[in-house]
Amino acid sequence: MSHRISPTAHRGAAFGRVRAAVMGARFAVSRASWPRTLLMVVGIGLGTALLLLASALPGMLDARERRGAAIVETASDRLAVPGENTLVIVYANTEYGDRDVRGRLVRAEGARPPVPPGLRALPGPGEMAISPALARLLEPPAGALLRERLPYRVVATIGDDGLTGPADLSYYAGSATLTAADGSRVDRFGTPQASARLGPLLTLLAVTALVVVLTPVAVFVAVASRFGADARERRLAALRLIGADLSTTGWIAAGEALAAAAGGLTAGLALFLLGRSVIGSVELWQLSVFPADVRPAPVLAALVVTAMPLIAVAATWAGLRGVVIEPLEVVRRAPRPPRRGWRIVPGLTGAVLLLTLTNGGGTRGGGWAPWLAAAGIVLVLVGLTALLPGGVSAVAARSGRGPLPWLLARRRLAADAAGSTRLVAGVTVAVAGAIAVQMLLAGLAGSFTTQTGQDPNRADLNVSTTSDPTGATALATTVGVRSAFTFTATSARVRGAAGDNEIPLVVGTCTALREIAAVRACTPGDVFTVTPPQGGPRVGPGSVVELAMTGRDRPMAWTVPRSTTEVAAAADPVRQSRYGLFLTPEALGTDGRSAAGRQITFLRLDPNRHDAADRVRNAATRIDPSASILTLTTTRTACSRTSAAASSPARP
Amino acid sequence: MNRTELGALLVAADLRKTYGATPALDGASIEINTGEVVAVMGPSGSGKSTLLHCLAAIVTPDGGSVRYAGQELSTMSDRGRSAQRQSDFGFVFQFGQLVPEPTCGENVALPLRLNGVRRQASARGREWLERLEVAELADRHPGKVSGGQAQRVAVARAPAPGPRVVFADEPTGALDSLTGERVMHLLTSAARESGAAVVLVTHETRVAAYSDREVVVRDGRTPTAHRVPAARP
Repeated sequence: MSHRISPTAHRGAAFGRVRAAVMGARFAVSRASWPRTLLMVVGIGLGTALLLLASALPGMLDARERRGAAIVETASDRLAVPGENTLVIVYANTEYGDRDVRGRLVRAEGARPPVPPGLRALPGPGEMAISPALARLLEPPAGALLRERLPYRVVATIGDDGLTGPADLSYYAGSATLTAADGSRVDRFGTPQASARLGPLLTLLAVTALVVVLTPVAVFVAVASRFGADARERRLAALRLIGADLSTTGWIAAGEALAAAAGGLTAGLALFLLGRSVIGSVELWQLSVFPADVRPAPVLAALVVTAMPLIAVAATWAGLRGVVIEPLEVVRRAPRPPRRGWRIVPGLTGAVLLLTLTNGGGTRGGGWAPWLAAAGIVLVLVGLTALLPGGVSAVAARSGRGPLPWLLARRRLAADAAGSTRLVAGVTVAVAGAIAVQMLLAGLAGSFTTQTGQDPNRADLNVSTTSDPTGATALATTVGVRSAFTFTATSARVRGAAGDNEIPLVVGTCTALREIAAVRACTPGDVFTVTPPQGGPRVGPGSVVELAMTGRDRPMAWTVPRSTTEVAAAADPVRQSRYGLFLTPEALGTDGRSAAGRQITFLRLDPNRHDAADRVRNAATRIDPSASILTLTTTRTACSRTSAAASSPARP
Repeated sequence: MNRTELGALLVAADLRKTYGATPALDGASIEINTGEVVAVMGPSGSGKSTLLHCLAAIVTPDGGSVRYAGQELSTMSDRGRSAQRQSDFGFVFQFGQLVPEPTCGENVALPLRLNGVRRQASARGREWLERLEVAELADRHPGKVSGGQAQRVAVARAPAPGPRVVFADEPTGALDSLTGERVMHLLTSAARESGAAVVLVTHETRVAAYSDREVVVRDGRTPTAHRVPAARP
């Protein structure tokens, strides 16, 4: 014992702290500490992964907006004539099952047409370029029906630059016959990026979801930092005996927490990277994200990496404040007199804040309102965690007698419920938060959902194609179609002294006319008129109108017969009321020609044929590749779309 | 060399300590000379452990003084007392002194590591484990060894950093008599070999027989009658 080894205390206090922290870190990774360290690693790892994901959200939104803006076709008002760098484009979106497919028919008008992002060249006539997800969807047998609708030869795959997400179903098909009249003439792709700012309600939802996810994680991280606190305190007491002072024990405990935090950060980063690598195969509500777009904001990521160890150390030191660690003994400080008054403040403040924002205040007015609402939700959730231990103590203290285990539990909870209730508080916050998110989602769905007025009981599908004498029959005889009615919607020119007028014209069978006007008695050859309530050009018996006919270059003059009957308007299954002249085909003569215009067909499908709608879509596409097909529903969300050309190319 | 000639290393005078309303020490005094083994005896609750804790700078007395090598321990800060324990004192207690996370070998090296010694710590730890005949426990954790083995590890740890005083509080209390005697033999041999003093709290005369002299504590006081044991085992 006389053989003493010189200490190294002279190296300074900082060195001593580092040494103590390193010793603590060694304790944390020792076999005896693994269970506790593992729990901390899991808690901090989950928190880290979630925070990194949260910090990547703005970038994900921005990337999605950027990608979406890059593939928008842009037309210039100057493009009245074809040029070397112009392209005719027609929207040919479609649906397959419940999936939306983005489709574009293209035809280059010159030698240097614009090429969409993700492609090296435009597909030629009869060819198409498809997204990887569409390629998978087209694989037989599941994609056989869709393949029938898209009979083009696949010549290229759309690259990531041409998609908003890896699950995008998208194609560009080449055409040899498109003209600018069919769609639009464009000379470039891409439009200035719109701001990726969320609306107030979405901001509120995002903030609340983040809080709901992160609050339990924060509680868990804090609780995990105190797992095995008793064993740690005994260990520190043993170290106090052999000369560790209070400061050293604090740094040893900090070293343990830091080691677990380092493990947690590593695990969290690994979890995040793992999640990022598989996120490309995840699709929610037809939305998907490229892994490359999931990049945490550097500042936020640095904040996460810094905050996690600090939280772990702070929680550990906070835990040590409640005890005095002496050599060989741990003395718990007598709990301070309960000061429960303040605990009600956060929850109460949050509740008041939320109440003042009711009646839609949280979603209107933009700016501050969503943040105030989010703050209210956070305060309520935090208030719950603050109130719970005191509440549990109070209940335990007032609860009745019972068996020995109950007695012991009651005494323990009455003495100090905080430790026991922290995890429960985390769960409580998660549940309360989930309810808040659910309510917000319901509100969100309500604000984005509109009543269409459509009547699915009268028809399941509405198909609009170019005039085709055989089209109606082809649609009506498609497998799975139970019934159908078709009419042609066009217009007739009425020449007059004051100038020409256009008057709407509908040609359909009596059955069809009864569906779209208050027609009672009707025989082939009958003609009806429906006067719009707001007035407008009218034609009466004896008037002569000019009609565009299929197979005729020049319009046909036609005289409104004296037997024409005035009837009231009636809404069709998509709630559209039509006005003007309503003719049965026989009224135009019997030379086999029909009026040129849009051919509108309403179909009822066999509910037992799940593929009936897709068969109809195939038939409609065969009649007209740019056919508009609408599935009738009572409600519609703002982001849903029909399979038709819902909008035109952007104009700068 | 006569041990008293080496001079008093640790002197406690008129120590007083109460826990709540219960007096533990009521004017106890004691002197420990360099290199001597002193047994502190007394009935249960007499205050002998409290006396040891005051001498070892574990507990601060309410009154009186404890001087170690000329320094007053009773008024020293926690940091100072901790530094004193770290550099000059060794401990063998009945239980609880080994840290469960490190291995037995690392436990023996712990005081040195706390003191900032890195390279020699492991070697010194192994050396003392060999001397205490428990070298095979070096890589095992304290929770995986028997009580007797753990106590030998604790005995090995006490002299490892080269303390000037080893405090032993009922070091054989949890051991069978045979193991206890072996532990006492090893402890006192190690101390005598290196010239460290040993303050040994026990209520067993069999254990006290390993000391050079006994101090009896009764009702928190130390009667003046000290005696040298007639014979050592």
